[in-house]
Amino acid sequence: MNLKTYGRLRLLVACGTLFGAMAHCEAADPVKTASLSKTETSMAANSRQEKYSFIMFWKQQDTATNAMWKNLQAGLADRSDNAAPIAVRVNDPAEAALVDRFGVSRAPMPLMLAVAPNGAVTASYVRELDAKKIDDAFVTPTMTRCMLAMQNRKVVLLCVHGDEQTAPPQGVAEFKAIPCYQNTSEIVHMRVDDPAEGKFLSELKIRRDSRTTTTVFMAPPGVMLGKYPADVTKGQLIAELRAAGKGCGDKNCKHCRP
Amino acid sequence: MTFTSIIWKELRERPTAMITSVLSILLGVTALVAIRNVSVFSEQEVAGKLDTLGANVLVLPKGVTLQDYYAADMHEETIPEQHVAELALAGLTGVEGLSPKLCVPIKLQEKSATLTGILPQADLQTMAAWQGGRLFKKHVGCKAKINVANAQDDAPEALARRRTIQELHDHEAVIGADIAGTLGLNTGDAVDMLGETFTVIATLEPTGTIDDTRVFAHLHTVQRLAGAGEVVNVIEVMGCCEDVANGLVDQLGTMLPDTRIVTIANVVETQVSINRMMTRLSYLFLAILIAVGGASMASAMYANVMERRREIGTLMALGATRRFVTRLFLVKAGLLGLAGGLGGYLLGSGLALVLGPNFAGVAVQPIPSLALIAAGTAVLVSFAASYFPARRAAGLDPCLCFQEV
Repeated sequence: MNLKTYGRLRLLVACGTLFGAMAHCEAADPVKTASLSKTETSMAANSRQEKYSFIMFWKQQDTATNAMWKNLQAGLADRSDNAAPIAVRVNDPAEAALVDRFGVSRAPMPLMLAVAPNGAVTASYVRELDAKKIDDAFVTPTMTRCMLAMQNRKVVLLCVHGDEQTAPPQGVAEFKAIPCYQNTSEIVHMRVDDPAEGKFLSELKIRRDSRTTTTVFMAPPGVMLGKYPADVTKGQLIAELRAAGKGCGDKNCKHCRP
Repeated sequence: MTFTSIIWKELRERPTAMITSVLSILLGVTALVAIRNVSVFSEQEVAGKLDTLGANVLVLPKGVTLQDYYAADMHEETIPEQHVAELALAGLTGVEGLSPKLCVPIKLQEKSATLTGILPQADLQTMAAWQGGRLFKKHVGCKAKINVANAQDDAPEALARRRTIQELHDHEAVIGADIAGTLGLNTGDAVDMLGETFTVIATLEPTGTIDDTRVFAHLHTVQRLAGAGEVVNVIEVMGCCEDVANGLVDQLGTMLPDTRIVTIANVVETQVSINRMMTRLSYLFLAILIAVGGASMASAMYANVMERRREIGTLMALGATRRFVTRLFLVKAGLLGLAGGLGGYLLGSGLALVLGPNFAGVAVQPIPSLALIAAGTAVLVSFAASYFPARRAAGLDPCLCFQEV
């Protein structure tokens, strides 16, 4: 065999390998996609497009179900850019995984869940739906991040920055670094001058003209533990959590000493 | 002869009189101590229940009566499991947790046990966390409880303390202390129930309640195996505090009109009534003790004075003063009272040990302070009853006494 033939053979083998790998990838994607239901696929697409998914779970096509669906479609008609309605029959075997994920198999029907692009459930309504309820389901981006963390049973340290700071206050960073709380806490950042967060700032009662960093300490299932200035210490945060009845469980834990 | 030897000699020579004097006081003190002992422990148990469960509310099928909180699911009636989701989604203020249960009697390795289907909190907490576009839950009054992942509280063993379990998968089981001990089951063992195999993930510490005889498994698994459908026997609603829990009763009644809402106060109402009755009964017995025991003692003392007139006359002739004679009778009465009081305490405590578990359903122990109260009361009654007889004895004329010789 001369070098030229050997070189062509090598090229052939390389191309064959490359095409084989591409074929495998293409084969893998359909398999992965096929394991997701139609609703899950729609939700994933909505999430990529930064859209809310308004999922209406239903069992029987009765008056309440029809009314809720009609109101949902009407309420989202002008919001196709940031929301999409989806109907899911809870007894559909293809949607069993989704029903199980939200734990709604025994819930009263029809039930509407508003799911933010990041996966947080921002609202749930049973049997009745109107325009105001649909409006209320849209929350600020920071609220969705806080909601998701708390729905995963984590405490949230929301750092509201009024100055040039982007890093969390030292006490907050130290708290997050404690092994006991590393996986059960989440730091979320927000700026007071973010125009999208007006609603949230009102709820937190933090002024837009604040020039410092305020840390809001919150815990599931939606409890405000406290608001702290920039010089908050990890000891204060640990003490607050213990006062709420949820220390790390070990009174003598060396990591949780103030 | 000394003062003390005169008293002892007299007691030894007239035992019948002594016994009859003591008997009425002893019986009265026995009844008083027994009733008081049982009612104290019964009150403590009620207070304990209110402390640990006072903020809890039970949602039961209509028509179900309830005597024991811990056995709230031990009946045949059911309510739809859908009510659980309705409560979770309603976001009611003050509801800290929900624990629905379904109870199925089974045979476990030839022994009778109660298979209890319980819904893990992980299945409920997602629903409870959903709001209507709000981040913070409404809460007024007491401090709201937070629900953060915590190794200690999330462990299956915490079921005994918290009455809920965080995670429980389809074929996992948690075994109560008594059943585990009887059948020799430990964590990791496999156990067959209703035709399927379960893995024991934890055995519980003893609680002293019916939970010690339960086997806990996932509610939906138990529903499927028992063919019961999507139903539960009870929904335990954990409130944040008693005040809020009492306010929840009306809301729950409106939301779930086909159910019966019961607070801990309702559950212990019967026991509280019994305790109140027993306390009144103990006061009645105290009055009877004073009246009957005192009258009996006084009568016995008068008889004793008449019987010993010559003896008293002799003592006075030999120089005994009126004060000496009075003291003689009062000290004797005091000794009899003390004997009756202490004897009554011992007998009453023994009776309480039997009556407590069988009559009031509470474990009872002797109360040392009651001995002091019993003895003190008996001695005082004896003194009071014997005062006038003693004064009469001291007022006897020795010459008149000797005239009868």
